[in-house]
Amino acid sequence: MSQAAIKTKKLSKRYDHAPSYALKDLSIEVQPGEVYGFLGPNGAGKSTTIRTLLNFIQPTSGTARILDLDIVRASVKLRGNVGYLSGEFKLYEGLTGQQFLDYMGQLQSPKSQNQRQKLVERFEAELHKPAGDLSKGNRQKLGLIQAFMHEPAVLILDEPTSGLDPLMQEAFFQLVRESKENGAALFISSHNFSEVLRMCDRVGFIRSGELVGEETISDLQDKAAHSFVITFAKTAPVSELEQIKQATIVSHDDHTVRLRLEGDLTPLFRVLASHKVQRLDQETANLEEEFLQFYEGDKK
Amino acid sequence: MRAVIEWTLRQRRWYTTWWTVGVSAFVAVEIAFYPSFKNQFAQLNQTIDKLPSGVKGFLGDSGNYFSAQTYLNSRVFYLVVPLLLAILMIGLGSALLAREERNGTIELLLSRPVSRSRLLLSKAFSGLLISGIVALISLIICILLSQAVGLPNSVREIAGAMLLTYLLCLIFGSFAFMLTAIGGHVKSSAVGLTTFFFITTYVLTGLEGTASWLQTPSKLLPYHYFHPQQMLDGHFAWGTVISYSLVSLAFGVIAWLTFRRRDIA
Repeated sequence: MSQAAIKTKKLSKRYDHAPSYALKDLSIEVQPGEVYGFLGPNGAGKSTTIRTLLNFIQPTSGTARILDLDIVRASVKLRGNVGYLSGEFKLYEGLTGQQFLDYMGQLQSPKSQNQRQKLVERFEAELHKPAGDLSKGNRQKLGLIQAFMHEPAVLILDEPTSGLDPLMQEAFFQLVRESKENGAALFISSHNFSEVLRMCDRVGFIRSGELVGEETISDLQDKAAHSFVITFAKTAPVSELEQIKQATIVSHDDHTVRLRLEGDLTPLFRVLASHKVQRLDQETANLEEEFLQFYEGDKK
Repeated sequence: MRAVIEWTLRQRRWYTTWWTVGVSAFVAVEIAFYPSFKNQFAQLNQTIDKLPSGVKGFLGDSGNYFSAQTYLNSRVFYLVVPLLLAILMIGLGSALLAREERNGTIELLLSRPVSRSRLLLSKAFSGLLISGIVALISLIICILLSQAVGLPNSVREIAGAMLLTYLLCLIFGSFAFMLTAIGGHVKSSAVGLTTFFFITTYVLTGLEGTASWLQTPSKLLPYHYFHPQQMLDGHFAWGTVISYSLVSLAFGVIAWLTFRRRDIA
């Protein structure tokens, strides 16, 4: 496996006078060419993680490296190859989009002059109005352009589609795919499940400052696919079904059982074989349910 | 670094313009009235002499308040220009860095390959340039009009008085800048604390002539050493110039030491 683009090891942050850690022992790796979704409820520690990675705030303990450079000691050097979009993206109100991008371009020269223009065209960005007159969506477009215009190897994006209309969201997803194909690593914080499903290869769930789960999207899809609704001709054998390891009875009535099953299906079919089954339905993948379990703290 | 300075100056071009117009206009008006005043100096000095010594301490550092030689000191350099430049520099010092942080735009800068030290230095340099432009144009107006109305001070003497005034105010500007760089609660109180520092230093120095117990503590205050009349008399106060510069530099170093490591809000 190639060297991780982002690697954190027990990264922790405790603010002065705070009773608990805002981020505790976070250990993750994001590979080049991977899109990593970072999910969690408000206040879970997503922004703290991002702000620590960019050295806006100092870690209390632990280490992190981006492109094999220490985030504290080599922060200036590594930021030359990082694109960042803040969750609360702010612009200079008096500057037009053009002026703003000129300014950002002077601070960090783009690898190719065409890239910025291509992004402006792709997002149909409004460059001639002062930022104060722009809608949330148009501001967000400028935020995305400034993050991608120097073609960084690592992109750290906080709620990147916030305020974008569906067409522009589609343009963004396409841009993510292209960046990934070009070998960029993307670390994306989001609340939007469908967006995460479309973009990400892997997701990490954070709650109360701790990483509570990490799954590939394909694993999540596999798990979510094993939800069944079984209708029995006679009384449902609930107690037998409860004996199956990895099975969870979600709900039941006299004849119908809704259950979730992880892993091997054989034990389920063994039980079903000894009963008259009228109907067996596999529920469509419901990843939102998976996500919500992490959000609500049912899963760890 | 150059880009940050350029864009900071660009964003503050109107601010700089209006401050330049304001301070220069004040200087111009004061000097323009010199021909009207000069025939009434004796009368004005008699009036001033009747004031309590505590009040006189606030008006200037020369015993003779109205004369051709002391006119610029009492009307321009001792109180009002320092007051105006101090307001300008406290405003700049408390805003150049803090506004970027308050508005969230500092993340745009620090997510680029720009070190905190360079950002701090760029902002400090921008502040020096803006206040320097205001002081320099006011100085040019002052020199030209002084010569036009027949004031006896040379270009070197007037420039020396303006330099001393500028460096005095720079202490307050750099103090405010340091507070915003330190961050936390002091950042939001930078304007208030620095204004308090400025007023206190002026009031205590003004009162030191009437209250002997104030003479020792006032030696710790920058206004105690502020004697623009010495400059206007042709005695260049190198010691004060160097001391004022070192104090501002010390505030700048503290700003750098704290800002490069602290959390960005």
